Amino acid sequence: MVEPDIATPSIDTDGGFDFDDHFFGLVVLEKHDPRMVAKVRESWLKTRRFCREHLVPHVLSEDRKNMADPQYISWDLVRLAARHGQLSRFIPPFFGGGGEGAPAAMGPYAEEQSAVDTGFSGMLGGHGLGLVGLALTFNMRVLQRVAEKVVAGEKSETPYLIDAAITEPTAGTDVEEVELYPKARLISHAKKVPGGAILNGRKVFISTGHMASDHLVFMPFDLKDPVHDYGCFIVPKHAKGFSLGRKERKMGHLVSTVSELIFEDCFVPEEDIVLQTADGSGGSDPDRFAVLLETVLGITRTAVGAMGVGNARGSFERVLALAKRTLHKGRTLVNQQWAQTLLTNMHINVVTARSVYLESTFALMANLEGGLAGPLPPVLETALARRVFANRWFKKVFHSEKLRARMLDQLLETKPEGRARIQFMSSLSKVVGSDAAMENGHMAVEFLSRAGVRHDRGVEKGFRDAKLLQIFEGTNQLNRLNIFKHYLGRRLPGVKVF
Amino acid sequence: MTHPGPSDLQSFRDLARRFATQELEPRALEMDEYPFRPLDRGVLKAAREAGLLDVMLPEDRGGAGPSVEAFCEILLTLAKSDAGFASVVLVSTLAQQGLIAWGAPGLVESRERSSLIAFPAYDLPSDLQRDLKARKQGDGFSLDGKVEYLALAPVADAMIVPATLNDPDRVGLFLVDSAERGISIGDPVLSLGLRSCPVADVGLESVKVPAERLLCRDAGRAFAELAERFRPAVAALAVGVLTASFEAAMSYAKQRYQGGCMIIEHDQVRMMLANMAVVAESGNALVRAMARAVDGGESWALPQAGLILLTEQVSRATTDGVQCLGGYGYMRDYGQEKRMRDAKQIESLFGAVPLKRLDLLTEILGKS
Repeated sequence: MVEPDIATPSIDTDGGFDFDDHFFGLVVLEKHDPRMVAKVRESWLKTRRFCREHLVPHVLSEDRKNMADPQYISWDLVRLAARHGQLSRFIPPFFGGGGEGAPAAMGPYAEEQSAVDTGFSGMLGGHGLGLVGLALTFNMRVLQRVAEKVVAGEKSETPYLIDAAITEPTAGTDVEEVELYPKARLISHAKKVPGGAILNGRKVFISTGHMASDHLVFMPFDLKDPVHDYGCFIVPKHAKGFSLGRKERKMGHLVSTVSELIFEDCFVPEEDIVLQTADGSGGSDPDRFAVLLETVLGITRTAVGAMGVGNARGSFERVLALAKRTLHKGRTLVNQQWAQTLLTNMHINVVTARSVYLESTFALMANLEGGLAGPLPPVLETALARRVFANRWFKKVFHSEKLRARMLDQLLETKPEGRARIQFMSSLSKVVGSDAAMENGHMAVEFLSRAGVRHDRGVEKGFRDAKLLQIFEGTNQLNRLNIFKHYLGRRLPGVKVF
Repeated sequence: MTHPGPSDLQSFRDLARRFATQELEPRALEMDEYPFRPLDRGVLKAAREAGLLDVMLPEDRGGAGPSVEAFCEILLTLAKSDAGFASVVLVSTLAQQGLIAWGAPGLVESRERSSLIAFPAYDLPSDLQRDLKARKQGDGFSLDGKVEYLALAPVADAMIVPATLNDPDRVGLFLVDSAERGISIGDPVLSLGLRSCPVADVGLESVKVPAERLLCRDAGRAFAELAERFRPAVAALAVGVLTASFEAAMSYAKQRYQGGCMIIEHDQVRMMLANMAVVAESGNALVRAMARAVDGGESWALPQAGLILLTEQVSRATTDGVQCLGGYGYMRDYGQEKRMRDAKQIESLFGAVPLKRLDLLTEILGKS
């Protein structure tokens, strides 16, 4: 094969495909809910422009810098994201954010990012997980504070990110699944003390860890009953008793730091305890932890599916770009039948997996009680709303425990069958999307041989990035069991599910 | 061709195992840092001293004779510890055997064991790259153009390169000294896997080559014949990597607690491990069958078919090998992700997989 000389791989070669080529369900929905779909379109287009115009030039060089120096942190990318408002896009406008929080926008947004750089998507995903986790505690006081920090940070040279710390050295998948939680070998724990709590233990594989200004940390108060007696805490990076451990060296997702967090008698003042169940702050329904965890996972697994689709499409687009210019026996690859068929197989993986993450998004919107159904009412997007939310008296009401209890109760009203639907659809999204990514990664490298394996052509990076998607947010093995349990298990009484 | 007896095979295995445990295993992860860390020349020297770079030389010249089966034994063992270095042995042996097959006797004697020779091991035999042109000049040739992704180029003292002769459809193979005027060896190319086997793009500008350095005028056929003999060796690399991946996955699964038990107790993990065992066990036997077929000059389709099957299956199975270790599998310290990358890179030796398939069928059609 004769390959073209290219310094950076071209990935802006999908022939000008637009929204209407990819999202037929949303195009139909537009007739019924024009405002919501308009938001999705706008968010998709913004992401696409940002990624293709601003992110593309840095993708391979940042990947390489991280490989060359294990201590390197891609601050330039964080600042780039901040300059373009990428850190506050889903924060409501009344907190000063971009207000793109239409739930249906999440998938297309993650897909577009991942098509260009799955690692970058993972980096912002760590931040997004921090924000989603915090939002679902309905602690409006802390949420407003953090949101304002994110918005202010975007205008500074030291952007503010927050991560979420759940995984422990001896408990990965176990803490990604409600039923497994009691079986998890947890070591980290919190202790109530006058004026706050003291944290001890270690968290590992924490995405965005070395970049985050604050960490949203989940730890039980009682190791014997972690499901019913747990807490959620904000720990600033300079907190006494807190330290960053190693920055993990990974196969891919290199711009997304993955870190070890160490807590040694780390004191958290009362105001930074976001949630605690032991004394019933914010209600003490025994089911609440389950609903909270399921909801977070419903959202993140749907998003990982979309990341997988993006990664799979990135592989497809890169192969297409090279196939248009690579000669085999005197003809360009794209002119050969076998190559067209392989490209089509890659495209099939993209389209089928995309329909699953969209269905999973709709499953969330249809079944989750408490505000995921559509975009914010227009009144909340006005400048007036922003002023109101900044008002001291308004904050008193908005931050009250009473309001919080009502919002939590609403989430708890999600019906058991609705919860099951969210479970199996989000697991499906995650499995199908990440498997499509891995399969397309394999095909892309095989298709191109020499060009497929060299870093400067961009194809092998997609292959390395794809693998993580099958592992994090619960391994695909766990997610397969979850699909069986929640889809079929309910209809097969007496059958043992795992 | 000679078949090695069981005791010969055992002694090759022992030699390779000693070298792998003493030299490769402790350094495999560090060597994988290339090109961000300099190449470990000590390992290269040790390999030469152990005779690993000369195993296929005739016995009277210090080798063990041209047995592909014995060579595969060695690669299977080396690749378990570091497929990158195992592929240094493979590429260097390929170049050496090419030289012996095509070179003038004088040239061969002076060269065969002197140093590493770079070789376009990632080229598809039926479609060698043609960006280098040879023009007749005086008694010899002048070479202009480039060779992409030439294995061992950053460390070799000489290189075997394909160049078109007069008309673009005629490709010859030349032996060129790396230090020759007009040669520029690019920075080492960062690759997906086999990182300790350095690769670079090479530019040639009016490089003078004497006539006897034109090794052959019909590179398509000569390269294909050589590649045919070495297909079992590439498959051996793959199976060696998988064996190590399987062992690592087994040992982790027995120690990792999750979901209320050790993960080896989960059927899904067992299924993945079983699939790895299926490929590893049958792969070992298939590599030997392929090698014997080549040594015996018998079945021509088996080595190509076996190469396609095994490299593809191994690259899938080592992906599962990472999955068995969960998040730890994705981290570089555990070495498991390296095996997945190495396996995928091995698939690219001798060209793209779909084209290998098409070539196999062309071959079958041609003979039927």
